[in-house]
Amino acid sequence: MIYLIDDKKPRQEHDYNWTEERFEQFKDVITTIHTLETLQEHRKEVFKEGNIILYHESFIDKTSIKAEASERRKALDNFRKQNNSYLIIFSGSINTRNVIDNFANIPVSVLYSNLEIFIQKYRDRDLNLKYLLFGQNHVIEQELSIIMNSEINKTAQENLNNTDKNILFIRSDENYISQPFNKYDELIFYDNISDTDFTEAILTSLDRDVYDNIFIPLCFGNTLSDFNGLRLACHIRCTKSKNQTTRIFIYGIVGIDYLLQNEYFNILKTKNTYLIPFSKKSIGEAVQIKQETYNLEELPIEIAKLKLDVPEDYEDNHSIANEWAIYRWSKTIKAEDDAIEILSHKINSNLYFKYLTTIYPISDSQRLKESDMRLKMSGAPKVLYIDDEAEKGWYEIFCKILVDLNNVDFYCIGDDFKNQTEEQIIDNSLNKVKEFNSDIVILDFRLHHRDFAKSDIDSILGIRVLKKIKKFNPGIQVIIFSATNKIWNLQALNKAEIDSFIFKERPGSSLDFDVTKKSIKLLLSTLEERSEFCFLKSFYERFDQLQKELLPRKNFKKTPNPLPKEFVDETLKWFKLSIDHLKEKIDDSKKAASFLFLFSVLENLSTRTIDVDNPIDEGKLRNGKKIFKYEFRSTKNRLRNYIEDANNLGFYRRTNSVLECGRSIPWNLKILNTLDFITDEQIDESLLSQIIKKRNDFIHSNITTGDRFTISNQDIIWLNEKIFNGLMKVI
Amino acid sequence: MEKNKYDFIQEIFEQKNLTDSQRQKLFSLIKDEIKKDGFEIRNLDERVKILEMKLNVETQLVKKDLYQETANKSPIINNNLPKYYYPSSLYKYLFDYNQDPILKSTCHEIDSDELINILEYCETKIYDYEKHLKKIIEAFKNHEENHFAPTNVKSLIRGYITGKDYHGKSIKGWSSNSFKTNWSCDTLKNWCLLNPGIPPNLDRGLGRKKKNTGYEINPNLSLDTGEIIQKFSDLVLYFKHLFHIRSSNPLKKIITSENIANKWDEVIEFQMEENSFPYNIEFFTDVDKLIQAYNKIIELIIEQENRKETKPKVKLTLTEKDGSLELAILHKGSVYGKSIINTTERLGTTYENLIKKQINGVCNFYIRADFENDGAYSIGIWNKQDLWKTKYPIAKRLEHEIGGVEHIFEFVKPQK
Repeated sequence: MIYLIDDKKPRQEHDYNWTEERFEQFKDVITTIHTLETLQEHRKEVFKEGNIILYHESFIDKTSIKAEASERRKALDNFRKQNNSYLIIFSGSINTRNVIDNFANIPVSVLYSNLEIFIQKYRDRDLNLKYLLFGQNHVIEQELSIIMNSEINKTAQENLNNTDKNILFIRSDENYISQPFNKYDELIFYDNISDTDFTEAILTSLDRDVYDNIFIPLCFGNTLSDFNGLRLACHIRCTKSKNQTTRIFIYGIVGIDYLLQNEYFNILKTKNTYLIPFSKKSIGEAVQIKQETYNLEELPIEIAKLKLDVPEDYEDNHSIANEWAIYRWSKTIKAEDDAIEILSHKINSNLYFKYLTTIYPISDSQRLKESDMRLKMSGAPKVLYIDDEAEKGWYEIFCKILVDLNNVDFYCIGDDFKNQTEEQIIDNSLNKVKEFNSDIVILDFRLHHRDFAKSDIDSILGIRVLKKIKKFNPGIQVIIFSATNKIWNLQALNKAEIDSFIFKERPGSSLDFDVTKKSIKLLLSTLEERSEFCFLKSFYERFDQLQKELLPRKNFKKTPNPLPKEFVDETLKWFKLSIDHLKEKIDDSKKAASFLFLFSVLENLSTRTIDVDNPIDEGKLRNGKKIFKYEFRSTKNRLRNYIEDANNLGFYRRTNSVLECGRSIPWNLKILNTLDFITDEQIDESLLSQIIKKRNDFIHSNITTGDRFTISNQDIIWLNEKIFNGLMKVI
Repeated sequence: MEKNKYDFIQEIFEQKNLTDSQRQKLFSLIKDEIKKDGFEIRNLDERVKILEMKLNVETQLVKKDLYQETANKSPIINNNLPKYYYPSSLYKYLFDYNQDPILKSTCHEIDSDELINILEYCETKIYDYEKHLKKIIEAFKNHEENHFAPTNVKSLIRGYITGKDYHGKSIKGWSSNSFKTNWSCDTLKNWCLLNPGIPPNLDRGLGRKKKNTGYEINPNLSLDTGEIIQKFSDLVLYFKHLFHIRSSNPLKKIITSENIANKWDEVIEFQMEENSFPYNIEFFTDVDKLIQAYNKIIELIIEQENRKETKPKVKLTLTEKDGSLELAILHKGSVYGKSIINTTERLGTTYENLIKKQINGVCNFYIRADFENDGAYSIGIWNKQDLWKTKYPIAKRLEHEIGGVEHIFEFVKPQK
């Protein structure tokens, strides 16, 4: 256990940001003690073998035993030696770092800077006091610290340089070169070294005057080996200011060989950026070097040399891609809201994003006009968007495209997924699909951050939700909207029967000048395309109802109104085939096949509707052959006769006469009677005839003569509805 | 008793030519005087206690002297030597300075906690340098009145705080480096005017919160070791290092730096082993004088050895005993050049200068040496009152040879 014994609580909290809440996160490994009384109370726990005691040198200086301060420290060290414990003395009056065995001295600022790293390492059973003294990379850090002290000391002997140039000299609050020039502007960095801090500093200090030269220290901030000077130089180049291309000299205590592994090393390969030694002499000589011209137009090419990777400390690659896509889409369609504004601020501060915006700038020609985003959708589909990060900007983007410009009935869920279990996410998604009566679902592939760690693709929430939706109703159109570009993800999605996939833009894909515009247009065309399939949803709903109605009636023993097994099986089979055939693609042949499958159902239905087994023989003969009358099973009404118009073949008129025919009822008349029966004769004769004609044209067409026939969606929709209603009525 | 009366008595009390018995008598008179006055002034009472302590320390030291007198010599007078000052007074002076609630801000960086204290005793809502400085000067005067320390130490601290000498005259600089920057210097004052509310010696954490580095010293100050001082905070810590030896400012490191800076390590083979020269010993003393004294002894060794071909070997040990700390410099294989009698009867100019210029009031001084043909002896050269004035040092015969000549500086803590 680590015991931090420090009476200076305001210093701990205010000066070094170690609040009670922060300590709370590490309470399993560290305990803080602020008073002598508490220390005395807990002395048995504190002074135990193996413990680590971080002790403020003047801890008892304000207590009644202050005269014993020195003896107490000695006693502590003796305890440490005898009990295999660790003692670290820290103070505001200590300015060196040293460690001998299990004993160390450190400045208070170093202690609190490195405490978190030390605690985490200790938690991971890596107990090494050097983490506390020098941080994560203690070996290099110690080495650099020695070099820094030596180099700083040398500069004291150097003279200042005279110059008439405009110079900005940037330095750290510690270990700096004093007075390098006779005149210069100075910018000091303290612990303000985050991307946001750098951006703010550049916008305030580098956007007033134009400088001839900017000098940046290679090492500053708490960790010398971070070589923050390289990062700051990248920031200057990627931030719009009056000095975006001003010549930069990075003055360093070490040479290039120390920097090769640094992620920002490539800034030294770009124009007008140089690494020079850490001395007043070198700084003075640098100013004398002739300037190269560096135009803003050259920046994207130069900055592309940085080849920055997604920062390791960023949430994950997905977040970067997602945020980049939101930024690009919102700029392209001019969508704005608070979330997008926050994101834009981030894009303008975070170095990686600044790098991307520098190498992939968005010009006016890449923006989409409102007229380019008008949708021509089939019907009025209801669109549901499911994304755990919708609130980051996508919601506003979809609102602009779907609601503002196209008046689509749109709904979005997902912003509360973070606090839900996986099962809750799946259930809530499906419930919303049902409740909203969604026709099209735009679905994010990963709906929870845990999805990023999953190796089993089928367990990824997007796939699980997709499967649930498709199981509920395969006719609901699901468009996956994701930045994933992994082939195995796409394979899994395909297997789970996605209807479409829209790629979110990834930073790498922005190389294509028009990629954002193309992606948005693809979304629009996909929505239009999928809207054509929306009728399938109701088809599957009907099929579901039919199944529920018919299947139990196959059992003759358990149902009062049983149906022949063959009838049930064939009806369901053909009905489903007619729908399934349209799932993937709606083209003429698919539609024709679906149409014919429906006629198969109709034929099946007709044999169930018309009592073909018991023709009525009234002893009439026609051309020497017997003729019969037929009746409907349920009503006992006779079948009606229809007459084909001689001038308009294929067009049938109803007659008031009863059908008289041989043992086999002509197909047309059988179907006409069936259709009339199931629709209570509510269908217009021409429509009735047209449907029959289309079927016959297809069956009897001669391909070689080039006969063409077209079956429309509407034909299928019409027939499906009539057959369904007929089945429900008759059976 | 009025305060000025006491001051007068103290002046008499500190007269160099006062004998022990005269001093004891004077002390009883002071006590009587206080009783006669019939009231107690806390400040005076404390000051009397200090005097009492000084006397006790002396008495105890004499009693604790382990060395056996080998002869009863007749006293001689050496008027060149100063009055003997007890080193324990210096420890207390510096220890109390370091812990003084106001003066501590002159030897520590100012963090949020310390700032709260300063605002409280300065009775201001934001930091006010002028008020702070005034409080520091008052506290220093008060400290001086209540403590005893060698003049050079008092001058050093006075110079550091006020930039002036005892008579109020501006000094060219303070410390052996003659630094011009001090708590009262104009450049610091001007900086404080331009940076209202900011202490000049900010702690790094507080400085980062306030986006201020504190007062930066330009041009930077250079130390003999090659290190530089860039900020006033660095100077404040440098000042503390001048009197507080501890694990973060270990004597071992100070001596090693000195050996390198003076190139002693090129001509002498030093031995400083961890177990006989621990890093974690804490002590308050005049580090500058200690080092000067150390260098004198090393110079002496080099001078004795310059005719030999081999490098002399010097073993350094630091031993903490009950209430004292001994820095021993053993010139291995050497033999003391003078006879026992000569050593105890004639001080010689080297030691005399060492006592006068470096060690009086800082530490006691002994030699332990193998004498040619006479065996090994331990002699207290400067460790008590009236030595070389009314009495000779005492040489104690040691049972075993010590393997050379050892010079010992003894730093003494006050008795509890």
